[in-house]
Amino acid sequence: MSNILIQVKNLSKIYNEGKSATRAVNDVSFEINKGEFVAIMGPSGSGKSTLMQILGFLDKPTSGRYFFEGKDTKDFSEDELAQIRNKKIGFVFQTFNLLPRTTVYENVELPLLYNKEKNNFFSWKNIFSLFGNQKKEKIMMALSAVGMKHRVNYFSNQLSGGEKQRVAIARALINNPEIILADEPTGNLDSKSGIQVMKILQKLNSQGRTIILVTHETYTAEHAQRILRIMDGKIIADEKVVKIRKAQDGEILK
Amino acid sequence: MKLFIPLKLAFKNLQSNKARTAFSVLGIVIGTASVIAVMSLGAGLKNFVVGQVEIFGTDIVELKIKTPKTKQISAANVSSMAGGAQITTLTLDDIEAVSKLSNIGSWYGGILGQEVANVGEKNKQVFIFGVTADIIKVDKNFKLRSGMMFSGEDDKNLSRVVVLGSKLKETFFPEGEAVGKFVKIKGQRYRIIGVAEERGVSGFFDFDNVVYIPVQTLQKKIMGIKHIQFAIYKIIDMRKADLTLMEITDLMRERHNIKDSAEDDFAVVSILETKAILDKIFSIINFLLLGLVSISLLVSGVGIMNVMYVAVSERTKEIGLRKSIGADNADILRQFTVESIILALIGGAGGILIGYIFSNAVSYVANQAGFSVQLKVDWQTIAIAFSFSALTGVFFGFYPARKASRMAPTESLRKE
Ligand SMILES: Nc1ncnc2c1ncn2[C@@H]1O[C@H](COP(=O)(O)OP(=O)(O)OP(=O)(O)O)[C@@H](O)[C@H]1O
Ligand SMILES: [Mg+2]
Repeated sequence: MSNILIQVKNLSKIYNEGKSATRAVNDVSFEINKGEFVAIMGPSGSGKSTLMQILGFLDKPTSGRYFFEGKDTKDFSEDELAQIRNKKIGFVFQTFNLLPRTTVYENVELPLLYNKEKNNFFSWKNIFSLFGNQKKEKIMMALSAVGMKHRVNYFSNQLSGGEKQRVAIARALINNPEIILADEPTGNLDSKSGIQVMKILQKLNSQGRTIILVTHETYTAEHAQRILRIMDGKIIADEKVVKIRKAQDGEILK
Repeated sequence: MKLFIPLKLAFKNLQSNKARTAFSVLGIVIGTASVIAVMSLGAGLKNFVVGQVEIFGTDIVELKIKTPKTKQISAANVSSMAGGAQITTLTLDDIEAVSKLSNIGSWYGGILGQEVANVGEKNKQVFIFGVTADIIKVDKNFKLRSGMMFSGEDDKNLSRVVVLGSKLKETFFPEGEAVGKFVKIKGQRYRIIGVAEERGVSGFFDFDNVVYIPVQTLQKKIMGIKHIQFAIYKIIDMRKADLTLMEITDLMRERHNIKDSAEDDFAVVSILETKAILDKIFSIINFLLLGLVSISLLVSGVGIMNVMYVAVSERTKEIGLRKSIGADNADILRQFTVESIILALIGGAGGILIGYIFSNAVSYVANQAGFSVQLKVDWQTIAIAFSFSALTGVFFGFYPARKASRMAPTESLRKE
């Protein structure tokens, strides 16, 4: 089996096709292997988020091809894409996107509700999960992976920014996805919380998970193994990080 | 996502934003309640009007004078009567002859005059209603409060006796008994033998400001005339009413030597004809009610639509998030439909309750104020109001959710 997880060929995304068209992603091609930690770096407006959203199946490219686990994603139906988002991808947003007025527990639980095979009402798994133990265990495990177990009954709006982002990562982890896509996960955080997030991402990567991180800071990008530099929608460099930074307490991000 | 989880999820979501839930429920409550209120008010008003008409009795025929060559209910007849064109051809003999017809039961007849009446220093211009004694058998709204009614003998003997309307009694004898006292009309003393029960203003005529007097006493002692104006007959068998009307008409034409119906100096009016007019009025009332109900449906529909549409639209971002973590369109639709149904059920039930309480409160207040209005909330009203609000609520919860679910997750996530 090939080790390639993601392969894009001549991928483009054009917003507002017509007179005021914006080529947010302009004819990019690259591959990402399983278990890699890749940073996508570039200035504001260069198309990082757009590219990330396409890789995470939150949006579709205007042209070009995207192979995920060797399969052409053009052939997937809407519902299949929803299941891929649910099981194979964990998305972490710059603005957290937790449900307001909802507990940490329920936020992390959310992807489980949309996990089709586990929620067949008559399946044994579901009948067990009705008793809540298995599910609860899973949620607590995801929360302890991000060090948020102690806030399980808090409401999302009672958390600090860093805590919110860690809960969001727990939510991304809950279905044990192949890959974590994080779009400027530290962008709204102070450096201490940012380091904690980077530490979690590095730990997840060391456990074998593929990570793609969007950032515009070189320093943050150097926590990854590889940096894709993007400018005006084009990849201008694809380089290995020679000296990978190790996120640890006491370090200053930025 | 089978049934159990969406239900649990829906309750959780409705709970998590209590203000939004409360507004949506309130919108549906108000919508449902106002439709129920308007429908029951309309039905109540209609019943009130029907009731008022039926008080006069449905088994009654009136024979009255009419200006020849005019229609009985016409401006020409009314204005010629008001202009003093007296029709003096109808007599007590006429109306008595008619009363002998086979299908006619009890009856009375009479004429209305105006004179100044006085008791001591008090003078008052009053209506004097000369009637035959049987008015008390025929007119169910004519009842005595005290004393007694004059008899057929009093009429024959031209007795100088009167029965006072309730307001006249208050005017002339504010304190103490009136029965046994005397009232002066045209300089002659009349003994008061009874006082009528209050009956309120009916149409434009105030029966409580009237002096009732034996018809022949009025004709001969006060007005100096031989004619009368009308007679009221009770029909024994209403199924033969049409025939009886024709018999009355034939008999009257024969007695008055009339060959051409255009020359009729009388009119025979029955509730049957009045009913035709009433039916017309009721069809207009029904039409108005329909309009009123349509407007209230429209207004509450728009209200519910707004509340639901806004409530769901402001959750576009939430829909985007749910999709980005793996919800498919069916999941989103199921969730919002279940939530809307719950809102519609709660709101609809609340609306029925409030509409019901409102209708009963209005009935109560109206009854206290002396109107026998009964607002009825029947099951059709409830069914229409409830199903309309519920369907509107569910549809306008479903529709924006469907719109949002079809957007790409990035697009809905951008919405604030
Ligand atoms: N929905 C949209 N409609 C139209 N243009 C868009 C849309 N989203 C992004 N763009 C445009 O596409 C280009 C790339 O945007 P994108 O958000 O991918 O940039 P970015 O690299 O993530 O920037 P930042 O670092 O500021 O987040 C920008 O010029 C932006 O204005
Ligand atoms: Mg961005």
